[in-house]
Amino acid sequence: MRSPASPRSWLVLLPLVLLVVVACGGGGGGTAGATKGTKKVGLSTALSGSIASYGQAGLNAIEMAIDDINAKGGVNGYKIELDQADDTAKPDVGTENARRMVLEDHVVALFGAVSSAVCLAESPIAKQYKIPFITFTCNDYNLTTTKFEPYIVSVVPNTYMEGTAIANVLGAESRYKTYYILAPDYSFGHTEANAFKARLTALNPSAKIIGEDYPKLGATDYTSYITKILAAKPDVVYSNIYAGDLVTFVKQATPYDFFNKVTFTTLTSTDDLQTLGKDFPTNLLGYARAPFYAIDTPQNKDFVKRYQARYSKYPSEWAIMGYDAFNLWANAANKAGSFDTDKVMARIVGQPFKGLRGTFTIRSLDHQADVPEWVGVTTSSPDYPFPIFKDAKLVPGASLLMPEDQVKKLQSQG
Amino acid sequence: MNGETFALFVFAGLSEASVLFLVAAGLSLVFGALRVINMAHGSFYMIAAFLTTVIVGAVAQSSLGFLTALVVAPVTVALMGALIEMLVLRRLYRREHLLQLLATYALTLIFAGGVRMIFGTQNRSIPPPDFLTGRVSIGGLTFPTYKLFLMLAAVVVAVGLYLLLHRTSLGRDIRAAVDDPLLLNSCGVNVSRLFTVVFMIGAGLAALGGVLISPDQAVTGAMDTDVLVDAFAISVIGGLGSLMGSFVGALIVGLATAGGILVPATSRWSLAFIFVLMAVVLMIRPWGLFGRPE
Repeated sequence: MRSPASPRSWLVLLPLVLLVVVACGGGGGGTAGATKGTKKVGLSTALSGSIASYGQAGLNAIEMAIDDINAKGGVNGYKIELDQADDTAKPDVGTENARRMVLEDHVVALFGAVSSAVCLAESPIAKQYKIPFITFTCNDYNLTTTKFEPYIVSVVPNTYMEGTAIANVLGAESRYKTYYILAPDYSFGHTEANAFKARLTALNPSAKIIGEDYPKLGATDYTSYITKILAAKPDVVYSNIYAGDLVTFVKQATPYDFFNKVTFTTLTSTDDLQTLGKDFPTNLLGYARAPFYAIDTPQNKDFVKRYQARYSKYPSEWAIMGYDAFNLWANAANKAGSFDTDKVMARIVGQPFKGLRGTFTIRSLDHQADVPEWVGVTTSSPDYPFPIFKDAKLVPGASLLMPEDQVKKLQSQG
Repeated sequence: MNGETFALFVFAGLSEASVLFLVAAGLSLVFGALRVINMAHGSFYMIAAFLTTVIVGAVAQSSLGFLTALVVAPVTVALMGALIEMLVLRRLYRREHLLQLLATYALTLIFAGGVRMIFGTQNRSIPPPDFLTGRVSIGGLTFPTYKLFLMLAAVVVAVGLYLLLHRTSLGRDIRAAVDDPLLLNSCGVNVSRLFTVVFMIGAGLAALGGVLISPDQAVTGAMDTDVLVDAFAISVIGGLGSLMGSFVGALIVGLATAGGILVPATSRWSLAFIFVLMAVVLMIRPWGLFGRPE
């Protein structure tokens, strides 16, 4: 056997050693000189693949939030550092990341992924290791119902709330009689479509679902779905496809004059508006979780300005909610004067929190914040290189929350 | 099923098939001659699509930008292919398949990371060239112009490849390499150079698919793996190494997928059709419909 200290092996090791020195040096040499040390928080999210723009927006915002809090002296006197990883939108990678962050990097809080499938897989890890797990993009209502665990917190309108919000708008329109459902084939798409159907038929019993299709997430050819829907001639197409899928769908449906033939409703994210620009359909009935241009708080206006200056793009919903998610945790930990999970959670659950979108309360029963949804019709705007909601309507979160008895029933089933 | 539905079904099927063929043909050609399953084939497709968005953005005029991309992207990617063949694959021809798979898989990760670093995570979208926007009405039915163009492009590439393989000396050498590389070597053909050229053609075909698809889809960092799975399934169904196999395989998969979606009773399972087809072919004829047993 060759000696481990042979000159050649040192040559190989040298860059590694340098790398470690540089990496560690970079971590310790922070700006806030008076801090007691550093604490890490973890963000495992989709940073590659067709939904990566959503993950990147959340990452950008949390980095910004951390810089902001560190500039004010950190949390409990500690400088906060971000531990980030790419989950490639896969549940197994997400759980692996979350476990590593907890066991090796000793994070004191975890922030949620883009995909609901990933969040559902990570939540049991938060429970097992007693770490606050704050979700701000993934929103399957099973997270706070059937799979509820004591350390989850949701600052994003969940699929029940989002499906209900748009059903409230459409259900009030008796001229719409026939509906077609188009949703991606995984937990988010199905649970949100179910919430939509339930509220719609409750409000308008004569409304009929004449077809349902669940293309795979990441589908690249929607021609069959488009022609099938047009042949069925529905009044309304309810959809919750998003990100790359929505962009592809819009491109392929536009030549069929699809958006003039049916009333189309879908999740309208600033990321997808920015991708499609002027090609994004107007007169589309959109719903969105936090459209930056419609949120009328001074905090949000300041955030939008600073985000644009730092990243040269508009903050999407995932950025705004990511910023709120981090600050919810940081403020609670500061108030608790501790990083102890139970003490921090006591400052979150049942308490109001002030974020970019306004002031909200985390409901004790399911740790879901009563955050609103915005609904509006897309219209081209002189102020932005993409259409925005004309007269964006804020639907208050309190009116959207799942009724408590229903939550209890689902929680007992989990 | 009435005439109108049938026409829409055929159109949707051909629309799926045309792009799949472009990508599968290159994958299959490379396997046939080099006996390497190139996992990085989807990366070439994705890189070309991102290059197209950059070129179209830079040229500003969408038709001219698209035509430029149609030449520049495949040539660039083919040159990248040449480098990869000479630096990586050449060392692996005599090694076991697992090592080849691992090496080309490693390349996909490197390319995916590179694309993310250079082009960012934001999805991209470019319009079709001016002369291919809108729709064509035939017998009261609507067909998007760009989709018709994609089908035409697939047929042109198929014919072009056929002529290359059967009417040129390069094609004769490639076919000989598919049949018996040892014999070819002893005939005095520079097999090493031939392999580089074949790999360049394969990469160029993937890139051509990437350019052609980019006005019709979101250009995303997931394009590489999405397309690879389908292209691989088609190659297996049609027979790895067979041009005819890729063509027929793409048609079968395209039509089966479209039919599956359009028939309400099967639409929930239509995503699995491609794999069921692959499994059936593997059971009955493991070398594929047009392939040859090893």
